Amino acid sequence: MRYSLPLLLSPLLLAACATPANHYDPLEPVNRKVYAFNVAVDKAVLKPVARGYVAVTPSPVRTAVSNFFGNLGDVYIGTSNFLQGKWRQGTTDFGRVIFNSTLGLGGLIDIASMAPGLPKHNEDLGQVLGFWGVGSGPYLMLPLLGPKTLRDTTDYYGIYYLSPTRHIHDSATVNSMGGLNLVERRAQLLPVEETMHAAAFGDEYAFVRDSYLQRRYSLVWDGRPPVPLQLGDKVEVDDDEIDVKSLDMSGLEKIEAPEASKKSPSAP
Amino acid sequence: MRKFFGCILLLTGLSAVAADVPAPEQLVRTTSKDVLEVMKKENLSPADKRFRDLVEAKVLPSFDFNRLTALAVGKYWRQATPDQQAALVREFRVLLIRTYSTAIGANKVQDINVKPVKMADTDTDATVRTEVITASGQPFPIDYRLLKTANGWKVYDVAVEGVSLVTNYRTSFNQTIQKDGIDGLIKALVDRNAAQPAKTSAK
Repeated sequence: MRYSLPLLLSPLLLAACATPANHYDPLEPVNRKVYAFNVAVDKAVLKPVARGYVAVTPSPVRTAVSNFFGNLGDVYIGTSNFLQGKWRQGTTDFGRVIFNSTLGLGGLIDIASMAPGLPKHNEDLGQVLGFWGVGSGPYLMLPLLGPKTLRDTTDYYGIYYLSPTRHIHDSATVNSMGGLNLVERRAQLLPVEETMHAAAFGDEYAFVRDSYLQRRYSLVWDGRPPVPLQLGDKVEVDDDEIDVKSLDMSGLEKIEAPEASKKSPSAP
Repeated sequence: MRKFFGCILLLTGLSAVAADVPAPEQLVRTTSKDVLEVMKKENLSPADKRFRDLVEAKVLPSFDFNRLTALAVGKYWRQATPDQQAALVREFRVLLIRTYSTAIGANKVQDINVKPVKMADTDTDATVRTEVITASGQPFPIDYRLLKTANGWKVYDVAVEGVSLVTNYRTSFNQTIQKDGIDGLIKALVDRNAAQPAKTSAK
């Protein structure tokens, strides 16, 4: 179904300076510096603003804000679906826009998601290119904008050209909408961040990078990739190689399990 | 429509007793239901030690933590002594359970929708896809990879939004081993696990 079009740029770049840890990150030294910068900016500005926004904004208002921008985004998502020949999905995306813009009071209520058969999709221009066989290209850590692969930077053009806000000519309105959208999107990441902090071990930069690359790969294949993404040098970990069965772990289970059950009744 | 139907099935608990459901799907269904019940009944914060213990008790029998750890450690696994391997499994398990508890707590999970699995009776490897419905925001997928072992079907990898835990940890594990050796990794994991409760309680 998917055609392998030759992408000239990325294989050359990759072959030139592949690292053993990750083949998609030839610019790692630069990316790491930008990442450190982004983390500093986020910590100083964006995250406090998002926290404040969550604290002062009632939850229904936040939902309405998120729905409003989500409704604008559905135009882009629908177009991306059409560009992949996913006609049915694309049609439902535009159906969502029609429902939400009218019955949903200009997009403030996501009435379409309440109906069966009109779920929100996740599509963009990067996924369109991926669908037609374009490789992701090198991983980039963009200043302020965060992680992207070369292919997925096309997303910025897509958002720009397919956003209905392009037709608003009052720059103050456009800017404040952009700002609000940014803050809302950052606020949505707060629970993700909490999970990431619980999960992170060792190198945070690598953790973010590997997560991003795998997630994008999975999205291109709509959650069903034929093979897992090979990030670094091929590490053969066959079942024959790892003799897990020979390992006697029975003692371990016995130590941990009663401890858990013992503590639960004593806790308040 | 199928999703909707699935939700209703899950809510009424009919799905858990359906006879023709493949074993891996059944396992994920039962475990998800148990974890959800714990969450709703106990109403505990994810930082709570008791919540993690309860989740651990529910999740533990379905997971093959030995294999999960072995895959995450990758090529260095064979170089580790049995004692080192046991220590790695123990510490990694603590980290994973904590992550899992935080993930379902922080995202305010409302429901877990397990999708039907199509597989042959002879298959020894299966992927069970689930969709996690949250109070806020879009539902997100969690996929479980299971292997048929002597003790029945066991989960050996979990992918959240297509991000495999095994793959993700392999990078940082290998970096740590290259720098400080296997004992260095064990020590780093122990430190990491010890640091977490202090941080959450200080909040």
